[in-house]
Amino acid sequence: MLNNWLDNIAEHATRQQARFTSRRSFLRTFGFFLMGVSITPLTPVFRNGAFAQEVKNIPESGDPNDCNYWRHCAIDGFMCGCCGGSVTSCPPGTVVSDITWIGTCRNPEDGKDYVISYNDCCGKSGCGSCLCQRDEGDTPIYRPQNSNNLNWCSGSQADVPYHCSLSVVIGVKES
Amino acid sequence: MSKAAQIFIVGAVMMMSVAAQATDPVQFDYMMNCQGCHLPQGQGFPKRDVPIVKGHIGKFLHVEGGREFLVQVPGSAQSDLNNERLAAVINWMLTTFSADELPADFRPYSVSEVRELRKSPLIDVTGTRAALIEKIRLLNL
Repeated sequence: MLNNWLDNIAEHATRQQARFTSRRSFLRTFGFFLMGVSITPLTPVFRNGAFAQEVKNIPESGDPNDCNYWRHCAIDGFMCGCCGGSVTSCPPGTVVSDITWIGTCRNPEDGKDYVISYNDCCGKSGCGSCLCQRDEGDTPIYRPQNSNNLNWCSGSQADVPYHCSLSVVIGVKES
Repeated sequence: MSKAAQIFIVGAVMMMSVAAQATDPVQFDYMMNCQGCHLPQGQGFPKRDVPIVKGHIGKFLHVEGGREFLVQVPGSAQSDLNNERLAAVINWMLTTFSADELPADFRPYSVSEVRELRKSPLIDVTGTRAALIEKIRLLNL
């Protein structure tokens, strides 16, 4: 049979395990494994997905998946929080567009203007839920550097398919 | 010192770390007018023809026409920044992203210099840029 070699390996491995390990030692080892798996994502290592440095200690209010949430003041697209990602991270299966639209929004909690980066998540077809179009500070397309009506995914390694948009805080305007 | 005072000081120190720090105004202008394409560390996006600023922009000051180019390139000249703020952003980019490449006799752009250069638009942007980059390459910096 074609798969004989695989059967043999599996049989050998399970027999070895049955012969040399007790059930409790298996549970113990498996427990360590589960603990390791659950702890690894918490370690403070560099993650490429965290492309933009989100500003710390921002007073927050409102629901990030609501179009009226303060950070979405200039958004034009689907909110990634509704699409399997969050307001600052792309859903699985998409990559963030490095090239992006940047604007400011006023935070109602402290009255300060925050710099928001509206990075698109790209590589899958449109998310289709939670469309949010507020367009404050949007310019006509003949001033493309400040027009949000572009598919900014054309500036990503995944190219054109647009999935959803993030609202990442990258700075605070001096008041 | 009383217990209450100690608690107050601890609280005050914690509050100080809570308020988000304001971004430097010149960096703010960079964020709003340049960073969307040239990216936070000036790394650019060569795959989509966005020029690299980091470790490169200072080289333009070594060749004839380079100093003018940095102001006249459409991203600079046609930005929403006024002459004061444009001069500040270009000087900031030079010293922040390309301090090692600056010529020994580097003098920052003045507002009047930026104002004068901005009056004459650059027509052949890609041709001018290619010629400057060729000159830079020959210098072997």
